[in-house]
Amino acid sequence: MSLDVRNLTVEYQRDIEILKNVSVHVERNSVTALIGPNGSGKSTLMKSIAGILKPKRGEILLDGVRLDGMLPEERVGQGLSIVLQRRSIFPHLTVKENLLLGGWRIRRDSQLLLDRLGEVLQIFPDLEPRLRDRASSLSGGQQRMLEIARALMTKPKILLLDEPSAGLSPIMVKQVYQHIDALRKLSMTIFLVDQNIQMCFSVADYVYVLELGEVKGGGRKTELASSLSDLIKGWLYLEQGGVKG
Amino acid sequence: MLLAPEILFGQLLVGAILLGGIYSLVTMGLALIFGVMRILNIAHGEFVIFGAYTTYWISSLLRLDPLLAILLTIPVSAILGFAVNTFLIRGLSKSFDAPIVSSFGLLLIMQASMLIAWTGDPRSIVTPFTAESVIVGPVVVPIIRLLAFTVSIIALILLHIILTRTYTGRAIRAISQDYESAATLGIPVQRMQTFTFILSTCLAGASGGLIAMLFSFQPTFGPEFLLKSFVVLALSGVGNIPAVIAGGLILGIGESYGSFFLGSGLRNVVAYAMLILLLLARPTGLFGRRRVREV
Repeated sequence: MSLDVRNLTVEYQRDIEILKNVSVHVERNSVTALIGPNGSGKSTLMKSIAGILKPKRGEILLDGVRLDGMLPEERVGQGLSIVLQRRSIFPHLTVKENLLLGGWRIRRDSQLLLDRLGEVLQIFPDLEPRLRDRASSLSGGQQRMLEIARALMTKPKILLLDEPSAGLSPIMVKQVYQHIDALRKLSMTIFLVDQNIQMCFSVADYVYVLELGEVKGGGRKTELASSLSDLIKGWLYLEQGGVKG
Repeated sequence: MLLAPEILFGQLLVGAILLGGIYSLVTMGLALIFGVMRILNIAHGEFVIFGAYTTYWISSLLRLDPLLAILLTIPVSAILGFAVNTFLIRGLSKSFDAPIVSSFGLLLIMQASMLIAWTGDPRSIVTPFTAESVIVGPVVVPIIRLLAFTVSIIALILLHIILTRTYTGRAIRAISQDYESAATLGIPVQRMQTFTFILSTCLAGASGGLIAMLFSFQPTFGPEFLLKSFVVLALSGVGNIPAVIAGGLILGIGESYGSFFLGSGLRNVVAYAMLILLLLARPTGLFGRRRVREV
């Protein structure tokens, strides 16, 4: 089971390419992280894989099945699940309703649905006492956990996490990453994007580097770790308006 | 015979509440489409009038009880809703203004078609209860209004149960809150939007059938019901059914007392004034929720 992105090019406006021939391979039962500075196209790649954005060209394959051309809901049926960068809970529904909607694909099998709910609550026990509460009443960190829990309801083949630490306090970031690490130990296949490079590295098995819409390298975390400080210095230079030579 | 002020007040209040229930049902269809599809269906009033004519003709031609005729009006409205959504709305739903223009065109087409088919003569449905009343204490309650109010409230309660207790209903509410997020969970957003549009036209058709039993109607009456729906929507916000019921009742009360004190010719002026004042003072509605979306 693996995800392959091949030569993906995405443009927001005609001739302004946000992603240029991006190719990424996500190995099964591993956490693959994509890191890069602001505006490098990380979230664009995630949204393209999930079907929210339509690529100009390129292929997206999950277990050899082409996903590009499918609607977002059809990709979920193929085993893909995403947690968006922005808050995406349904604020006026209860926590339980949010979770059950995550199991839309299995809604006709009520026993399976309840089993999945139980499994997800074992991973995220903090949500259990809040099941009847409105999702909007949860803290920012709990809302993020609810989003991840909801995405797990269909037992996806691959989980895409787009900036899971965005907008959270350091304590909450730590908690969220503890859960991601727990999912990694359960052999979940995860493709992760985050600005928080340190936390990203702590859970990743493989790392890709994206800069100005192009993949600048990738490989096992251990191989990249030594050149990390040079990368970050380069990004800071880019974010200050510099041009890399 | 002059009525004592307290009896007159009670009589007006009962009439207003009964009327308000029907306004709530008329509005609910508009609120559903706006909430789930972000489309302001300018032709909503025409669907109401179409429902009134369908009930009238089914009842007349098949010699059916008007309430039974309403049950047959619902599938006819559903077919019309499906056709309109498929050919006029679905392809435009990503834009906010294109469906408004499209539905305005639909308003003109439906109004002209109904005028050609059924002329501009006022019509109404006479039921065995049309002239009957029950007396509750000092207040006279027309049975037909009580019946229409009861049917409206039952329909709204059923809708509330569908939206809160069923999977499909939860999905509709989820789409109204964040359609992109709903799609990423595998919920078929477009199919749900089609279902919602059809549900909305069914509600409009049913409310039209009830209105046909209470008032005389003509093909050009649609915009009046659209205006009333706007007022109720402005009062209630798009949020939930109890708020829409409350909004309908407030409009009914405002209209009844307004037309009593100012004259029945100014009935619609009261509705317009309520709409303008509300939009100025509280744009999210009396019961509306502030929408916060992180970007």
